[in-house]
Amino acid sequence: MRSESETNRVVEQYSDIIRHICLYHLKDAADTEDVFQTVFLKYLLYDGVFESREHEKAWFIRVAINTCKDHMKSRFRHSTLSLEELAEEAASIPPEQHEVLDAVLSLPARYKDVIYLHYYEGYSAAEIGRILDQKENTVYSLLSRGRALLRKALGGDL
Amino acid sequence: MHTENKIRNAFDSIAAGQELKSSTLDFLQEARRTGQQAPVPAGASACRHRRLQKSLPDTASQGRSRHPFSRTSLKLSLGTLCAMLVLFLGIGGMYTMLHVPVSYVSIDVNPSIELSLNRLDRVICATAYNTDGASILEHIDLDGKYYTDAIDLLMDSPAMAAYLVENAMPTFTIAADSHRTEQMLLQGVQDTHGCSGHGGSSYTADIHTLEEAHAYGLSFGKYAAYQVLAQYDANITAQDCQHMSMGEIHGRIAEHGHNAGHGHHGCSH
Repeated sequence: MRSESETNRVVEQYSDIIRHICLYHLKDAADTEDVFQTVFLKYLLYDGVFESREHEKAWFIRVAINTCKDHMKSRFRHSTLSLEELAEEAASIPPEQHEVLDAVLSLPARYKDVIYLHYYEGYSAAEIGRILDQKENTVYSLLSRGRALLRKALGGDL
Repeated sequence: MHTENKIRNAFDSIAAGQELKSSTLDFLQEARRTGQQAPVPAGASACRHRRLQKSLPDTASQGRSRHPFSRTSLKLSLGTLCAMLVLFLGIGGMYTMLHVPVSYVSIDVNPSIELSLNRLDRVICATAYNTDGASILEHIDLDGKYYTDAIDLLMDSPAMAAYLVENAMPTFTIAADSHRTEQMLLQGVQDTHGCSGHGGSSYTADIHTLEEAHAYGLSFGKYAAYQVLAQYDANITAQDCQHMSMGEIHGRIAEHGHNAGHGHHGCSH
């Protein structure tokens, strides 16, 4: 079992990433809290060794995505989610960011992870493939199609 | 502005609030402690893996107290004892989190089977409440499976196929320690192929009826159906229902012009 100092560190370090993943996967704040608790509980019980902080971060991303999917599997199936549905969240977001977030949240589920991991976290297609257990070519295809959908929604230089 | 920057700026405006972090840390702290367990319904610990449960729950071991320290242990230093206690409590807390049931799914066709789920909605115990259920569980290992996967595995198994005849009316009943969990599990059950693919019906039941149901040797799903039937048929007993399939119980209820009870839901297709 992980020590208290370890869990304090990872909660501080990875909460924002997990919050982002929850944002585009889940339905409401209560779901987010459930996923947070499950992800960090899995960490608390995980007795594997991380080779590096990058390895640890990738583990958290993979576990958070899988936990969100498991959670949604047992709840309502939402292929898309608009910011309006996240009224509480929307209130705290600067208006200029609404359009971009709405465009990402409106993407079909299969594109969201790769778009987020590539554009926000800066992972390459090969790295995303390892995290999501998908072929690199599949990731390239998803990125390409996701980018096209964003271009259609947002216009501009994508 | 490039997409990368647009997306980065947009997500930068979203952060995990301090309240969320604090509640998560509190939860993890709780998980380290044995004393503060997730709510456990009475009798829940009587769960027995893949064994036919015929009789009243064994209460012989309840209330039995053992002194935690032997005479030998008293010779140990206070510091050592404290360290051992902390370790014991920590391990106990984790054990509780993963191995104590907090919600249940009763699956009744003619085979009657209950799945006990832990906080992660995974099966920690599958219990048969009649011989047909026991014979099915002989061939299927559901331990550790996510509950929807377990339901699909069970309902789509060759052993169960023999019971899924016309008018079999497979019934799925959910009981949980919170309304929210109950509704979440209900939705998950309704979406399974195991429910929708076999014309199943889903219900919710009061978690506090489990002990009573088990005292009669019934799954709580069948017991809930019995309670509805008993409202219209004063002569029916729980023992009678032990030997009736869900199709028969539903049929008897339907004769009185009612469906099988409160909280009835279909399954998604």
